[in-house]
Amino acid sequence: MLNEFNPCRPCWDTINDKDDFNINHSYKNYTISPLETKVERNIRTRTVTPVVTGSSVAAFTFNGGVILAADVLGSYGSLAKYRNISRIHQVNDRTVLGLGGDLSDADYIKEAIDTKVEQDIIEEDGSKMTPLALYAWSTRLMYYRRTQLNPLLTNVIVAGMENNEPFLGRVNDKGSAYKEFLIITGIGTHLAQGWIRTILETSSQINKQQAEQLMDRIIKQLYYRDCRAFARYQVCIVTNDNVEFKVKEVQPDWSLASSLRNTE
Amino acid sequence: MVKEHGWYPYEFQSGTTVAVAGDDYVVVASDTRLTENYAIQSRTHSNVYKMHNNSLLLSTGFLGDVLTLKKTLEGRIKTYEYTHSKPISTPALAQMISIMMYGRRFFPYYTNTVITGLDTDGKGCVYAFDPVGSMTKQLYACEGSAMPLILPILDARILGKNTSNPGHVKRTKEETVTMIKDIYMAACERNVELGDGVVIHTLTKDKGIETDVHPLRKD
Repeated sequence: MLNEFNPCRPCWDTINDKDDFNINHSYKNYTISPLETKVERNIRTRTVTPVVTGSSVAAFTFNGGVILAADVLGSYGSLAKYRNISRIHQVNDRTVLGLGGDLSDADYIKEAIDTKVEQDIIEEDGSKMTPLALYAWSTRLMYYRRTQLNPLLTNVIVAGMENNEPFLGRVNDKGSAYKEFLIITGIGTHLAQGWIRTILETSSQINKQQAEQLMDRIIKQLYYRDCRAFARYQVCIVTNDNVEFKVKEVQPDWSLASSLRNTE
Repeated sequence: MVKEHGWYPYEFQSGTTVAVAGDDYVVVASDTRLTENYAIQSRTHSNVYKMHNNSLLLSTGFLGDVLTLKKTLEGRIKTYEYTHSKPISTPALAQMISIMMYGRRFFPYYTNTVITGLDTDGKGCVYAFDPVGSMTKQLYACEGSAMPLILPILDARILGKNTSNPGHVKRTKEETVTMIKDIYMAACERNVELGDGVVIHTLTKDKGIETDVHPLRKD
């Protein structure tokens, strides 16, 4: 209706994007009530295919900590578009988050968690988010978005030290969550999870150095066989003392290529 | 409602659970394998959840709904206890689950749940639900991926159904635990989603919950 038109009103989606970051939301967005529920509207309008994606994230616990690794690539389909995206996010001094899948949803999750961490800091009572608390909260967030049929198409890996014990858990886009000593998301489940689990199950507690070497080997394997992988990757090691980030480059050995069929 | 959509809000994790009620005990068992489309995600994921009122919730199906159902239930059990100054009894909890699940009749909790415990007389009770909350009180229950393999065995061994020796066979809790172990070992030979281990809990009034973990084949 022309008499309702207000040029000063926001032009973005004020119906679905009413969250804490939208300060211009108005309670009167309809002149007539919509004849569909928000969920039904979501089925019609929300994207369910990821746009800019991160590939696999690998993580496992070792004696005294957790190690995560993810390459720094954001793929736009098959285009290696953003070549320096950190997919491992430090939440506080004992929790980190690994994110794979759609990266814009990953950014949303990072922002939401940072807001929570800020609230904790503001309270000034020394309380800090533990990995288990973050894992539980992420599960609720992903499940809620799944129920609204507006999913966050990311795999969230929560890692850290819970009561001085290593913690590792994964939440997927539907809100299914589990904890395990080894978590690999993305195509890495097919390329790496099987043989890594065998190594980790048969060896007794490995130390930090062995864990790093093993992780380098995993990322190299993913680089060999994943089309959307990238040579530069980020490793994060969480122990009781600190959270350590390293950026490394895969040193691939292509000498085996000549002995393989179908490679030139 | 869901037309040609590329994303489906449900997925199905594996898991097989068994519950058997006795005169003064309940034995529940779950395998410990968690799979996602033929990949094993965890070998130590149990589908039995201990509720605050000392009943055991068995839930398989879609893990997201299982976790949400469990969390919502935990909250409501606590509320009941604070409101009524006593822990909720298992039959009352079963009724609550039934109503909660029907509340999501048009976007169900895709879980096959069983709630087990000791009722007010101290007898074991097993209540099984379908994904929309249809509740039945049973002597034994089996849900999950290997249910078609295990349920006929339970029918034959516990109630003697379809055998030449019909009739309810009463067992002690140790005999029930052994029977369940044997059943799982047999079923995991023939079902890909069953394996890694079976965790068996026995609930009695005196000893509370006793847990026993028995390994199964890992392939």
